[in-house]
Amino acid sequence: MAKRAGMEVSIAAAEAVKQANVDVIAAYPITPQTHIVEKLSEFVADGQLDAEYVTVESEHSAMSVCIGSQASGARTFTSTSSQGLALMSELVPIASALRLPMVMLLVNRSLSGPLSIWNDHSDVMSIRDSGCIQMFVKNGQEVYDHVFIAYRIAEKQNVLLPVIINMDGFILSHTFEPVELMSSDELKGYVPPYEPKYTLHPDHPLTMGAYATPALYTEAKKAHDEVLKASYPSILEGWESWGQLSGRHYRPVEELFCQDADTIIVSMGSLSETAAEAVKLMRQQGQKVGLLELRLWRPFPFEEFSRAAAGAQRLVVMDRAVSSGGPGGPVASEIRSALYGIKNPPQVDSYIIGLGGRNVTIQDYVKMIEGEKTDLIPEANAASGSSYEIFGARG
Amino acid sequence: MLEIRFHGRGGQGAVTSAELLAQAAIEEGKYARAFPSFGPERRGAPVSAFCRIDDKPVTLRTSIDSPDVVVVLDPSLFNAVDVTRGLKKDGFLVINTKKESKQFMFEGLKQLAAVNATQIAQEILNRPITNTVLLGALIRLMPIVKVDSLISAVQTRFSGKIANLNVQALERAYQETQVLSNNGEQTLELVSPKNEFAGKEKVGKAAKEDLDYLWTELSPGCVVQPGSSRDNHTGDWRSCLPVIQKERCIQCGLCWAFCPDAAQVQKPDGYFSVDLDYCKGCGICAMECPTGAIHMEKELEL
Ligand code: SF4
Ligand code: SF4
Repeated sequence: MAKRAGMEVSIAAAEAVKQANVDVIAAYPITPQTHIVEKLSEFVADGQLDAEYVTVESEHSAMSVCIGSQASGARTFTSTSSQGLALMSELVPIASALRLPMVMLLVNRSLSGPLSIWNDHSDVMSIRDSGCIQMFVKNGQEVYDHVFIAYRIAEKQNVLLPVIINMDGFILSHTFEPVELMSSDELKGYVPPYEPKYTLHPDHPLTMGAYATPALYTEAKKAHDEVLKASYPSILEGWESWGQLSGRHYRPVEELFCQDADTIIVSMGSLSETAAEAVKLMRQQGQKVGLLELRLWRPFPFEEFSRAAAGAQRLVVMDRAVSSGGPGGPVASEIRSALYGIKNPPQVDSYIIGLGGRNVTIQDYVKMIEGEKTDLIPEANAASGSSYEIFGARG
Repeated sequence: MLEIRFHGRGGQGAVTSAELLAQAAIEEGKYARAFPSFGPERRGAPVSAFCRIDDKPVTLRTSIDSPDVVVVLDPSLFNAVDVTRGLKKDGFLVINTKKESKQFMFEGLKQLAAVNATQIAQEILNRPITNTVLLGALIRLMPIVKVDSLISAVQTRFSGKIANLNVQALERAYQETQVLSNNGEQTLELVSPKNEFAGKEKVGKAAKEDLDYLWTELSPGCVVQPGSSRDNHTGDWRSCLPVIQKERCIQCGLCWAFCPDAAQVQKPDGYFSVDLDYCKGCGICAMECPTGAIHMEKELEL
């Protein structure tokens, strides 16, 4: 029987990793990921988890160990944040190009500088194009659930890609809240034993990670791109079968009051729950607003997204990273692309919020939905679609 | 526009050839561009370089796939690389050979220039660096640039004695080069293993210049199954080869133990022989042999 318990979300994450029966964990502690890996090392030390916990001297080594262990056929887990991801990022695209289905909990934290240990999405945006499946979760339950979902999806024979689960640092990782933990009986079979396609083994030599001349690199990239796009149905299947198992259902794009909404606010990760409260409040006041929560980031759910957003006149997109000197927040510019070419597309307002741990309140959402300007910078060229606002910056 | 492709081995100066030619053309007020095939360079490995010359500005930056002229700096390349790949019909070929030049003529080739460049380079430069020698042969075949311009380019690039010796080598090659024209007489096929496959669909998936896999054919993660070196003969890097004197060999097996490419193979009679498909010519076996039974010889025409 599932057991409802109050716990810190990081501990729930570690519980899930334990229950997913991983073989190897390699991670280097970094705030705010620390509680997850501390708990996991305890599980291993206490004999509660029969896995190899490799203490490494850096995140670069952590990812190197993960690549090696996953290549040898071991189910592998890692977790990091911010600068740790930056140090790892040389290797992340290699893990995906080698088709190694490891799972990473990325506890989102802003990239320095200025030095900041608090939460935003600048870390994940730096590896957006690494060829991994990437998703966002918004509460402790979703963190717990998605560890299993990620392994099920990643290890499918037609997928075999790393899955990165983004959970907001502190806002999620350090919050104590109720989580329903599944019993091992309930979980049985949901994550079948890992059957690697190829493994490094002295008795069966083969080469992984050979170099590609200009004659092959393009084809290798094309194959990788196609497999990432083609993972979409497998991702849906992972969520659907989890829904049958647990009663909790997930979609690439979650909608709240979107059907008749004039204005839709678009969010990712932990912002979504507070944003939902703002939307409910405005609905009570008779305003036709909705919330669209982007759960799947890569592969981007173009079709589902434009279907959900097409009826609105205005989208208010909240980004938690700046693409400096670019067309707007990374999510907003992607959404502008997703909507390009559809008939009467909604106007897309790009708001950059919640940087480096800045609190975002219900009132803030209301202001953004109402189109309030705060940063006092005149709209440079609104018609070009390249305008964005760093919301709440004092000036 | 004239497009010239140079084939050499790393260290022989194929790139320098292309650049000297371009330099001479630029000095004459023409337009030219020279550049190497980009990639990892290893001494002794087959490399190519490209030169385009025109009266108008040269804008292309792509490698030359259908050259007007091919210049081959090293005779052993005929066995390793399809040097005449894409050569235009009625094109020109400049080669370094000590053999009878006639046998290198083939149908579709307009003119062939042949010179024993290795010998000239050894005698004048005391090294088998054949780049300036082949340039002498090239302008004998076709006056792309004036001899004086080329000499001036050589003098700008090198200095002092080296410059003088290279000019000597160039001038001597100009004198000694034999030019053959295709007059419709019966000609022989170019001696190249790749030519056996000419006209056939594919040369084999792993042949170095034929990595033409479709993206759908790649294994997940581009994993390479063992045994790919069966198709991929890495011995073509070699510019020297070990020669074993049986009389001195005591069958100790040290050459086998030290060879980094497992290219020493023991025969049933207990003696070792070299697998030339994979021997890189590194010379380690010759170094390690306790009785001096192995010495290294320059790889020329096999
Ligand atoms: S020259 Fe080098 S590669 Fe060739 S047989 Fe000797 S040791 Fe092996
Ligand atoms: S190292 Fe020399 S003596 Fe020993 S087996 Fe090889 S060739 Fe013979």
